[in-house]
Amino acid sequence: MTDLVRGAVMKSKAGQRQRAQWRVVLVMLAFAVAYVAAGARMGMLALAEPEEPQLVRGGQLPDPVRGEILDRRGNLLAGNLPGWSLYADPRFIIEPRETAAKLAAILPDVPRERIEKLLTRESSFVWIKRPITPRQRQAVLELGNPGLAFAAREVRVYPSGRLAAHVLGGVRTAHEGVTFAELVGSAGVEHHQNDRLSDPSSLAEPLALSIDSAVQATVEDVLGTAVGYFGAKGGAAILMKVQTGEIVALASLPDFNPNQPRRPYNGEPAYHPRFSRAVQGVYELGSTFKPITAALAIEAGIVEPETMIDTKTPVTYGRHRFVDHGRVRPMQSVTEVVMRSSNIGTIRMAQGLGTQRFREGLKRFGFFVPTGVELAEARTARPRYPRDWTDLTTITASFGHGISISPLHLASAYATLANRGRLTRPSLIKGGTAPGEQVISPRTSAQMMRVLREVVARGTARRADVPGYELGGKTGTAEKTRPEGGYYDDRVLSTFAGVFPTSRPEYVILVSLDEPTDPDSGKREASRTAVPTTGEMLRRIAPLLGLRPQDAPEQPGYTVPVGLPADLDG
Amino acid sequence: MKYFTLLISVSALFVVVVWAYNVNYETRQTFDRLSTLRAEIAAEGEALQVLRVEWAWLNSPARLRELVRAYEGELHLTHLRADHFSYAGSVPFPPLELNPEELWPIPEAHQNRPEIPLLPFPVPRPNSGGSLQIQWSEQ
Repeated sequence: MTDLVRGAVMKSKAGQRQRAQWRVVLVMLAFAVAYVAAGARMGMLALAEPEEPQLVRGGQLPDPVRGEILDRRGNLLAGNLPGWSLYADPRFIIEPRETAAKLAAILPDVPRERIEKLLTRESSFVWIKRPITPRQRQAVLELGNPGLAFAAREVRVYPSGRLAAHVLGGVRTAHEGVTFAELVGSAGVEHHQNDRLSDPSSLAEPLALSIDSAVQATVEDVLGTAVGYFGAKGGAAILMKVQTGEIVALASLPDFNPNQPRRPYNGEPAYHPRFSRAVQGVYELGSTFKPITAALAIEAGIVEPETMIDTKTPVTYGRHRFVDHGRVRPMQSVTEVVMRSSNIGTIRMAQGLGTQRFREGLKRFGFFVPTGVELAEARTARPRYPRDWTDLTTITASFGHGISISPLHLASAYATLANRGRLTRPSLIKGGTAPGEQVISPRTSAQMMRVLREVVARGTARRADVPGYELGGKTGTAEKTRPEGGYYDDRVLSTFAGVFPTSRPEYVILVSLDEPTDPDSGKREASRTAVPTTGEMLRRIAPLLGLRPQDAPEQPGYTVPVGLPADLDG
Repeated sequence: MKYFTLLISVSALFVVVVWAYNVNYETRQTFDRLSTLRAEIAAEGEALQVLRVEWAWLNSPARLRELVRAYEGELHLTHLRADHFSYAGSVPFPPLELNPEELWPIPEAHQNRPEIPLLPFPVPRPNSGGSLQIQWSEQ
C-alpha cells in the first residue's frame, strides 16, 4: 500500500468514526426525549385526579323555564314543577309486546295498542308520554328496560285549577328535544305576555296580574250557581276598578281546567269551554246601552236628567215601528226613561243627537275598536256594526241592537261613565292603565251616576240593591239573533251592568247570562235573572274588596219636575 | 458560606413546595365544596318551587271552600257579609278601674248602637301599657 492509499484509508476511517459518534449522540437524544415525554406523561397522570362529568354538580343553577304568574295579592296562579317525559329507543327494547302491556298498566291514559305500535316502530327515538308523574317514573324505572329513558322537563301547573282559566289561558310545548323543551303560551295572558314570561332576564320576577283570587273565586261561584239555577247555557262576569281599569275578576262559563290537555269538542262553537264570553264574544247587549245614549244626549246639552220626553207615540222609521214594553206612559223624564227602560225615549234622545254626533260619541267611548286588554283573544273581539251607518242604525244602536260588542267593552264604557268621564282602558296587569281623554264632562258623569242609582233604587234593578253599597246600573234583556237573520222570541241574553258605590265610584260590575229562565216565574228578563245574581255577587264580594257599607242617611226622594217641553223630534 | 447559602435555598425551596402543595389541595377542596353547595342550592331551589306550588294548591279557593263545607259542623264558617262590619266602640273592654284618661267610652257606644250585642267572652284590653290582662267582661 502506498502512503497515498494509506492516507486515504486513514482519512475514511476517521470519517467513519466521526459519523458513528454522531449517530450514538442522536440515538441517545432520541431516547432522552422519549424518556422525558413518558416521564412527564406519567407525572401528569399521577398528579391529576380523575374526574367524571357531572350534570347535577355542573355549577350552573337551573333557571326556571318560564316566569310565574301571581295575582294582585301575591298568590301563585301559574308556576312550574320539575317533571319528566318518557321516551324509548325501540332498538333496545326487550320484548316490546310485554313491555307495552306493562307500560299501559302504569300509564292509564295511553292505550296499549298505541304503545305497542310505538315500541315496534323502526326508529331510534319515540316519545311515549309527556309529562309523567314521579310515581309513574318510579314504576317505569322498576321495569328495568334499557330502551326506556326520561327527559327532564319543567311542567307548567295552575295550582288553583279552574280559577281564572280564561284569563290565564294555557301553554303548549314547542320544539321539544331530549334535553330541552320550550313552553309557549297558547291562550290568554300566557299567549299575550309570552315574550315577557319567557324572557331570560325577567324569569326571576313573576308577573303580577290585577286579578284577586278570593274575589275571582267568589264571582265564579256565584255565577256558576246562577247559571245552574236559571238553566242558562253560559254566563260572564266582570269586576273592574273604575280609576285604573284593573280587572279584579273576569269569569266566563262554561270554563275549563288549564292543567288538562285540550279535549275534542263537538258542540256549538259559542259554548266552547275555551271561548271567553266576557272578552272574545260579541253580543247585542240591549238596554244596557241606554245610559250611554243618555250620557251623550246630556253631554251634548240637548237634555238634562229632568227633561220630559214624549214616550207615548211609537217611533216609526220606514216600515219599522219601535214601541215600549209594558204600560204606556205619556211623558217621562230622562231619568225615568233609563229607569223604566223606555225604547221610545232613548230613540228620541239619539234622534235629537243625530247620526253624526251619536256615532262620534260611541267612537269616543271606544265601541268600534278591540278593547286592547292583555289577552290574546281580545284582538279578535272586534265589535260588529253595519258598515253603512244609517239613521236606522242610530235608532237601533241607541237601545243596544244592531251593534255587537263584547261585555268587556260595555264594562269599560261604564267605567268611563263613572271615572268622571275619562276614558278607562281595561287591563289585567297590576297597576292598570292611566285614564285617557275626557269623553264626557265630570258633571254629566255625576248626573249619570244619580240616574243609574235610581234604576237600582226604584227601577228595573231593585233586586240587586244591597243596603250600604249604593249600587247603580242598568239591566238589559236582548233577544238573541238567529244565525239566518232576525231574532229569536224565546232566547235572550240578560245583562246587568253597574257601578258601586255611585256617590264615589270605585268598581264596575257586569253580569251576563245566556238564555236564563227564572224557575219561579218563568220569566227571562234581566230583572229576574242577571239582577238578583249581581245582588248576591255584590253582597259577597264587597267585604272582600274592603268596602264597608255606608250607613248613609236616607236619600231624599227623587221628584219629577213637570212642565218641561219634550220636543225632541228634530 | 457557600454551604450555608445552599442550605437556606434548599430549605426555602422545601417550604415553598409544602406551601404550594397545601394551596393546591385547599383549592381543590374548595372547588369540591363549591360544586356540592351549588348542587344543594339547586336542589333547595327545586324544593322551594315544589313547595310554592303545593302551598298555592293547598290554599286554592276551591279547596278551601271544600274544607269549609267539610268542617261545617265544628267551625261554622260563613261568608263575610256586609252586616259583619261593626264599630270598635261596640267591643266590650274590661271594667274601668284603671286610669280614667285611658277609658273607652263603651257604655256610650253601647247606648248608641244597642242592636250590637256586647261579647260574652274574655277580651284583652288594648294598649294597657305592656301587660295584656284577660278578664271577663261585665256581661
